[in-house]
Amino acid sequence: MEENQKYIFLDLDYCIGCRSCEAACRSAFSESRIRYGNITETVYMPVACRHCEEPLCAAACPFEVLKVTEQGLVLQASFHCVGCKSCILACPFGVLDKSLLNHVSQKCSECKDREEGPRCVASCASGALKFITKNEAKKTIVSQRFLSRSPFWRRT
Amino acid sequence: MTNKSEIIKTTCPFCLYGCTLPILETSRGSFIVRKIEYDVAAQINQGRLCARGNAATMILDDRQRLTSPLFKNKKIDWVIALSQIKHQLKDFSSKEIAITFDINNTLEDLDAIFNFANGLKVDTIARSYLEPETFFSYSLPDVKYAELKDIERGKVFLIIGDIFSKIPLLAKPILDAKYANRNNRLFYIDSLKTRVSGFANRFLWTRPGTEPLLILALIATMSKTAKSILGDKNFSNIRKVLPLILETCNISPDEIMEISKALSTISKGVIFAAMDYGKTDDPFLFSELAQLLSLIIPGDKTFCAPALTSIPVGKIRFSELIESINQGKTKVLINFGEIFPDYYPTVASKMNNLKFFVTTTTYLNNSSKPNWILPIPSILEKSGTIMTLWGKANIKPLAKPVNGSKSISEIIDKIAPDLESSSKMKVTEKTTFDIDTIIDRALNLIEQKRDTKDEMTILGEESAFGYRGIFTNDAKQLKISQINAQKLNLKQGDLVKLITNNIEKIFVANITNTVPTNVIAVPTDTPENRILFPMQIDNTTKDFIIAPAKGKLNKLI
Repeated sequence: MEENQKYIFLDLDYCIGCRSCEAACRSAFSESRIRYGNITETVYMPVACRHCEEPLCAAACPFEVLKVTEQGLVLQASFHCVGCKSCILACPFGVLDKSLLNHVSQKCSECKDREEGPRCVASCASGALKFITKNEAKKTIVSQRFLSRSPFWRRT
Repeated sequence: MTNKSEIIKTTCPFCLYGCTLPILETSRGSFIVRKIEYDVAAQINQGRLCARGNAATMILDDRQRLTSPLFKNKKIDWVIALSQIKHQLKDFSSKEIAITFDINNTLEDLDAIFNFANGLKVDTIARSYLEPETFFSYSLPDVKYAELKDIERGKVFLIIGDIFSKIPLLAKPILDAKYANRNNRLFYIDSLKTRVSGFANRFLWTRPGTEPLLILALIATMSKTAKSILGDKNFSNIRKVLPLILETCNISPDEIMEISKALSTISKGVIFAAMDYGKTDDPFLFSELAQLLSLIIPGDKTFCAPALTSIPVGKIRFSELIESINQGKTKVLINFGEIFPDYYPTVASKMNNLKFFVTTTTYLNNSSKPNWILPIPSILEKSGTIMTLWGKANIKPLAKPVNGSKSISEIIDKIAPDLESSSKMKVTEKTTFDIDTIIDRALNLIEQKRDTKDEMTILGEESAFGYRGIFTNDAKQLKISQINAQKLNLKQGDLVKLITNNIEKIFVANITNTVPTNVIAVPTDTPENRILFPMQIDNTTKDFIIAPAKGKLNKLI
């Protein structure tokens, strides 16, 4: 896995649940590949593919359509997907949507077709989604004010 | 086959924030593929967009786009349509003709429309955009409107109404400023527990429609400055009703004092105000008091509302036009825009009395039945000037106008050629503040709210994600509190029938803690639920008020 590989991180201190990330993904791929839910009724949480080191979706795929790249990304060769939904059942985070689009399961590719990075991150209206490396993430304050549950930062 | 790519940038016209909206257009032979781009270098939004901006390509390529004029819902040729309209117009005197316009017009379109009205000597010209936010165009003198830098440097924020749903892009500068220092404060007043409440240091969950009363309560706590602006007598009158207000709103005096203290002692700040369709009983009072509060709070405080509407008010009010239609004085209506009459089903039926009714539109919608429907380019396909919160901005066409559409100026040229006169309309109405009217209205509102504690109130709720129903089909869901759900023996996802004076509608129950007891919230982003809310005429302004509705809920077995 390359050290400079970037991932999508969420800063809960900023997420306002506007679903702009979902809209950006849907306008690019016809169906959103980033899921949307909430922790409490006023704290929202978009969930993108975690690109696991040992992806269960790839292990479950009977036709090896899902593969881990050298950079550590889990990518799908959509052309070979038969729509068996095994990956959807296998994903422990429920990130892959139950519905198929054109008989193909929808899997986040971190917008490999776009040089500047994922559209959900670029579009994020409040700046809650960040596209950073794991090392950068360790140095960045992400969701700390949310986790502290201090009324001086944020009420939940 | 070679691919040609080009990025076209415009100013997003869907709200007043003024985001840069780029589109990557790739030509593959005779096909054009459009994708939204995100311009990190953009000054206002740094590439960020809300769900509405992301819907731009879908709106351009929507299959529901109207591509031919319709006469009584049948397709008709443009030449015949325009010559018939021109011919029919000659049968009516200028007093029998009315012209309306909505927010989806550029300033250049509006100039052409006013020229058209002047040329035909038509005085019955009104705004057909009836959203409650238009009440912010009654602006008080001396109110200082917030600029982006005021928000970025702000230390205390008071948000009244769900501003994050109206303009999601405002969240970034507000939250950045709030998190910059531990002593910075964000206060929130609303009748629904929306997304903003999760970020507030103090959330005042007031009873439906009573937001203006809490603003008056805040004014009543700021004795020094309020006395100097309003006078001792008026201030003591307000002070007298303070306990009554707090009782009506179900808010404790301590909570109001906490906010009042922070607003008065922290120097820089911004007051945000937003109103939704079917959520405010008295939008005029809301608008006037929110602006007055920004004047009364000591220190450097500015005011920001999502629609310090940039569109002119016209010569008469829309309600006066309806009255004129009812009386048979107005026989012809020509409407320029994209929203009316589909988004206002309550008033659409009043148009049956017209001899003929011409409207422009971009979408084919079965709910509207004007005689003539003329397709125009959508606001994304126009060039010209629009207004934003930060001043004028230029828009460029993101695509060629849809086949079969004609611009407003082309239509006007064909219907009424050789127009000479030209005059511009006033954009906002400056009002002088009349404290007696305000106190009277506040007392009325208190009276209205005191007796209705046990009735079921239906509130409207809007979100950027629900824009035109493109990204969501939540329109069939209503929100209900756990206590009410238990009373009706409802489970999550059960079908319920909502009955109001106007209509019965079936919804899916969404049981949630974000609505108080005896309150139902329904989405009003698309026209379908808007019929639940009756329209009343405001006595002072003669504008339409779309207030919360009353109704009851039955479980559907």
